[in-house]
Amino acid sequence: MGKTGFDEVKILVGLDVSRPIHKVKKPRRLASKTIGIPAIFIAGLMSYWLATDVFALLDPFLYAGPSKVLPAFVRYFDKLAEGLWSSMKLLVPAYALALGLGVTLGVLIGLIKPLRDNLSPYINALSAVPVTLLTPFAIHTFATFSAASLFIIFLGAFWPILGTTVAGVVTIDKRYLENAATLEISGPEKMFRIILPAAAPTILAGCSIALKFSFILLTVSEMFGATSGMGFFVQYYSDFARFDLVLVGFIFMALVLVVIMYLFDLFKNRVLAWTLNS
Amino acid sequence: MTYCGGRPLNPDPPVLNVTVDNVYFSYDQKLILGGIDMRVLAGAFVCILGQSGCGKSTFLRLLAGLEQPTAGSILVDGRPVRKAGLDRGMVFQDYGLFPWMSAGENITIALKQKFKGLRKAERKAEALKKLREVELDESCFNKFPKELSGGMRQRCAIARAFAIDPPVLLMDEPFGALDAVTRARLQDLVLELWQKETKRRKTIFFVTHDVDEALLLATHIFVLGQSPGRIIYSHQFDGPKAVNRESMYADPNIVALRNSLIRIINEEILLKAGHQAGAAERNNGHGQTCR
Repeated sequence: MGKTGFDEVKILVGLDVSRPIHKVKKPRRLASKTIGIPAIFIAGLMSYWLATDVFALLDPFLYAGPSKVLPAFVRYFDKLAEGLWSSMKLLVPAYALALGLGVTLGVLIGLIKPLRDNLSPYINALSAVPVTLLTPFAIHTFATFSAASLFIIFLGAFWPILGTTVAGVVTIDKRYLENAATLEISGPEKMFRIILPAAAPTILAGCSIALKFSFILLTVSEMFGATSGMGFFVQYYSDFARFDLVLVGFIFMALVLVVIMYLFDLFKNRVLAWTLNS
Repeated sequence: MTYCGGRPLNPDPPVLNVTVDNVYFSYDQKLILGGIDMRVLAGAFVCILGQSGCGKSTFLRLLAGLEQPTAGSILVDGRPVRKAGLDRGMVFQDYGLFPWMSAGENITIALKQKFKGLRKAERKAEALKKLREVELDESCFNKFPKELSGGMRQRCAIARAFAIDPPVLLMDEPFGALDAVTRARLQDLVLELWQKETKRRKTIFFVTHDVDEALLLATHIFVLGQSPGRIIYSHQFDGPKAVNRESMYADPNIVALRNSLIRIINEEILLKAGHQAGAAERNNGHGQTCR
């Protein structure tokens, strides 16, 4: 079959017309798309191994090589697992509280303009206070150390969730709200089926930041509020200058965070399946 | 009458007439609409023609209750329009469907609002029926709007508008973003759905800038002039109209009407351009005197 005018246009823009259109490339399997994950891991591990165990380029006191860290990881795994459990007892309630309060207040502040206008300076001021500096105040104010720890983690997660929820609600396209108005959608129906889904992309971005913040603050709060935990583990061995075990603790925390973020992304992709980019 | 599961959904819906009484609307100190009067009897298909920026969409928003007139009043069945409501369905050019809901959910949420007593299964059955009426198959029910073509999205929006069965239906250039073939098919579809209800046809307000579209669909045509928007021409079709697009232009009256509509709209554009040119000239002249 001869080339049509349209074919010539396609050649001009670089589309190959000799290839039949139905011969579409098979989509690659997920495993081969994420081949970079193990590749980067292996490359990183190898480099670190060469820099420590093999050529001793880094100070062995601070940078323990894989030959020390890996056996320690196995030896201390029980303790780390126990630490995971007690950390979760702090993290989960604190994050849940931040999520509940952050989203509820964020929606209210986002929807009610006078409230927003009057509260914004205070929100900006308070969210800029480094949460770690509030530790002595928290310990003094709360009855127990664990309540103070909970508060520190809560506060770290609360501000990003509140901020993004307000931003998410404020930037909802007016046309969707008008559309809802023509259908007389109001009350809880409007809240749960219009406002929250419309603001969900922004809110979930905030939740993801908050999740990472809460992990950072976990270490801080377990300095005083715990006798076990992932943060406690790192802090405890850091005090004894056992940096091999500090590294073990870091790796374990990182693994836990990766798994949690993976689960969070699964949830996020499900909730945001409707967005154009997914 | 709309039936679901053998019982009427909405046994005796009213058919409403619309009165627009000397309506003015300004926004940011600028007069958008300047004194619009309209008496529309129930069951009319009103096409509002005009160039972009003449305020025809604003007029529809006033009818919908999304904006309030600066002066004058809009009465639907004798009652002033104060806010948006289910008695006036709306089909937007875009953003008509909630993108986070499937096509089916977009219809069922509207059914839930309108027919409070309906069970979930009944709502789904009714939504599927409405999708079939606009020639969308069942597989569309679970698809998100982003997974549908522009034409399919507008079909779904029309299905939703007819599902809540409003006595007044407002359509803001619903086919403006569609290709010519899809546009023609959807025009026929809207006509079919509107004509099917022989006893109590909806009163439809349809905003468009396409003269042929207005000629095909309308029982009444209003042309809006620009700055400020006001009615500069109106036409009412008396008696039955040839609504078939092939035979339509065999009627010399329709051809004459088409020509005069195009002429009126073009004159309005030229007039506006002339005003602008005149204003620019005056500004220039003023600049010269200063020098």
